Amino acid sequence: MAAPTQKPSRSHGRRSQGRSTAVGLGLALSLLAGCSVPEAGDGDFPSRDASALDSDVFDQGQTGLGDAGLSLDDPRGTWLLFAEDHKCLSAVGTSVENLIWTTYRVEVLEASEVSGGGRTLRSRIELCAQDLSPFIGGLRTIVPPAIPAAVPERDWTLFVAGTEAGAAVVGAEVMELWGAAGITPEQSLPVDDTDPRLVDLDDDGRPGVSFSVGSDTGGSVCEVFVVQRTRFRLDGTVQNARSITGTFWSQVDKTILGSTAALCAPENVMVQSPIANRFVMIRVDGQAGALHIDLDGDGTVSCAELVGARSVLEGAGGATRTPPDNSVCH
Amino acid sequence: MAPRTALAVTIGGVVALTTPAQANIFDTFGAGARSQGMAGAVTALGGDHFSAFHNPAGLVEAPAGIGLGITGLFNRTAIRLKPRPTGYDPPRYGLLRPRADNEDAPGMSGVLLGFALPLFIDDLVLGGAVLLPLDGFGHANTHYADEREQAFGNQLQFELLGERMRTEVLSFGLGYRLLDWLSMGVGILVQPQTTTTTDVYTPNAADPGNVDLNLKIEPSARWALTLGLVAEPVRWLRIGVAFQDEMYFGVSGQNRVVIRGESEGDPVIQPLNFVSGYSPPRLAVSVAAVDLGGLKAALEGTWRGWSRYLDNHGAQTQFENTVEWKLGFEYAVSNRTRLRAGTAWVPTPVPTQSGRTNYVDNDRVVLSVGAGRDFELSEHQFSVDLGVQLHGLLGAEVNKKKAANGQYPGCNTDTTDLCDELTEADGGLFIDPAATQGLQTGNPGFPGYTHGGYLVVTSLDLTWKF
Repeated sequence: MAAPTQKPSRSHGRRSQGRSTAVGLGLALSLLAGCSVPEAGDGDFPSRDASALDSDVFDQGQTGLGDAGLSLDDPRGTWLLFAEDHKCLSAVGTSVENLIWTTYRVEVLEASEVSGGGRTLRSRIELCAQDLSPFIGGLRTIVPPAIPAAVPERDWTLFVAGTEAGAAVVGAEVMELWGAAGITPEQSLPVDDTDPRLVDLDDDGRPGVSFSVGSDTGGSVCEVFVVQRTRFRLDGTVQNARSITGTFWSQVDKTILGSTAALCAPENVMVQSPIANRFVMIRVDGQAGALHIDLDGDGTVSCAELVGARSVLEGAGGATRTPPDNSVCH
Repeated sequence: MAPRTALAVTIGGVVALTTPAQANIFDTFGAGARSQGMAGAVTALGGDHFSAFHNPAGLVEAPAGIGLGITGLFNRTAIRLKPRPTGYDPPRYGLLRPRADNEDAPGMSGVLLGFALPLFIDDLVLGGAVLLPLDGFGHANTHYADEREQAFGNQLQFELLGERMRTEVLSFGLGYRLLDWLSMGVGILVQPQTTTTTDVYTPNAADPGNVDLNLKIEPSARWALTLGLVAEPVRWLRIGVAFQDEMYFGVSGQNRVVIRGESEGDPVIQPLNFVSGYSPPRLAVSVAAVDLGGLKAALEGTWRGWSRYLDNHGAQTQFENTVEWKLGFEYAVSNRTRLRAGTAWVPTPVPTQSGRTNYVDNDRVVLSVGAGRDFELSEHQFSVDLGVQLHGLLGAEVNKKKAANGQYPGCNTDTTDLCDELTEADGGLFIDPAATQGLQTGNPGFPGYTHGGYLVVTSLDLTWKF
């Protein structure tokens, strides 16, 4: 009697298992459908126009990149002086070419005729920014903005032998002293932080001036406290009404007073690279078909505006940075 | 030497010679086909050598024998990155490694080994459960979960899945039946701990590819304790409790770098601290009804102490402790055949990732099925078990949070918010100032991402009972 009752039961069990299997598969398929990866879509951050600054210069029709006259008839106005200094740096068992790029704002106030057809240009020169190429492993010395901001504007004289293209241009020697005062070009620099000639130029509570050492993504690795003396003399030619180019002699002396890490204060020797230093002076006040870098429209061109328009100036006037060539320093 | 003792020594020797490993795939899916078929709800339902991992007290119910099996993991998870808006790139972003989705997560296949051997008396049983990946041992693939990853893979990774599934597992346990209704067990997980010292001499600092190296490796072991109880207060009821301590594979040490002319006699120290395959402490409590017309049903809650989680670089995270719920069934269709099924809910311990970090993990829904059958071959008793488990990762979306005032902190060690890699204060004048304005980040998770998918694991075990 038991067998007949068991057969329907087993059959019923198979149907029940079949339904269970179907339910299980349905659940699994539903689960897979619910677990698909959502489309990424857009985030909450709007795009920004990173080139807005550059665009301002061009969009306002202020580039003035028309034909430039070849004659430097009236040099009065605002100029950019961009200097590329080539040095060889020997440190930690190697030697690399270390380039120093310096940006100045030059205001030519007066052009006075001198005998022989030349003119002296009475000017004011203001340090805007300085940066250096990497020296080891992508690290480079960073000159914080506080340093150029603390260097006072000073008088400067240029001599121009003529007005036409090719006329010689000579600049009076400029000496910058960072972190000390009352030192002549011939005197030795302070070597310890008790020297009374030291000046806390950047007002950071450290002796001399403080350079950061960091990578070109901006991160700072360590700081070094130095006194630095830079001397240079320009020797160039007139290119046209808005451009003067040439080479320059320079000498950079530096003593290290301390650092936050040994890497920032290696024993090093800096000498002139076999490659000549070069400079360009570009007119930036919109005169004679030149660029007009008055971004804020206040009628003057400031250091901040020159630094902000770096990419425009590099593209328009030859204020470009040459890659360092370490092979010339071996 | 008795055959069983010889076997234990042999297996123990083989296991001891293999590379010690990490305990995660068992932790995620359950150890062995039976457990996987029941969604891992086996803390109160011992009965095979894999109890050495889940609850050593269950070993007293395991038949004497050895097991050989194979397991495979099919990984169909993905992380899709939202497109980067323009104007946020730090200098040279993406030149080293392009940012990319992660749609090629690795799977895994491995061999399962196990044994259960009564020692001297039937109430004292030694067991072991081992997983050995077929593609080699000792995998470790660390990554950063923030903007630092842009210099490496520039991708996002599943923090608790993916690479963690490619690791070995070594677990051993001893179960003892204290009373007719009470069993207890103790077990261990074994992991390597390596201390590495690399001495690096750099003759030319400008040529980092030319260095002299010496290496010193000091291996050691990390142990984690497993404790368990199984009580049967009445004939139809079992209660299982198991605790397992935290475990991970660690590499520590340092590189000592000497640069000629710079730091000779005073090396630059680069500390190393890597953590891989961290498994948090867990406490499982399971209540099972047995002997219900051939049906066994178990409800299990597992607390996991994820708040102690260490990421790949040994950093503490803000993970939250979780409780997983599992429901498993085993039905004896006949004296020789068993069917199994299970389901589970596994909440993610990872909080919302709207800030700096990109720890990727999803809530998971688990479905599982399995079957087992006993058979005889040449007068020897065998059983074969099959388990299949599906983990559905509930799709999730992450959006990085905009700062209300538009100001973002620098990326310092203790920064948890989305951070600015190039603040205005950091920018040297060699960088175009326009490039330092506002937020600059190369965080691969910026501005957001979505993630989900599914995992399927399947195992086939063959046990020879003697």
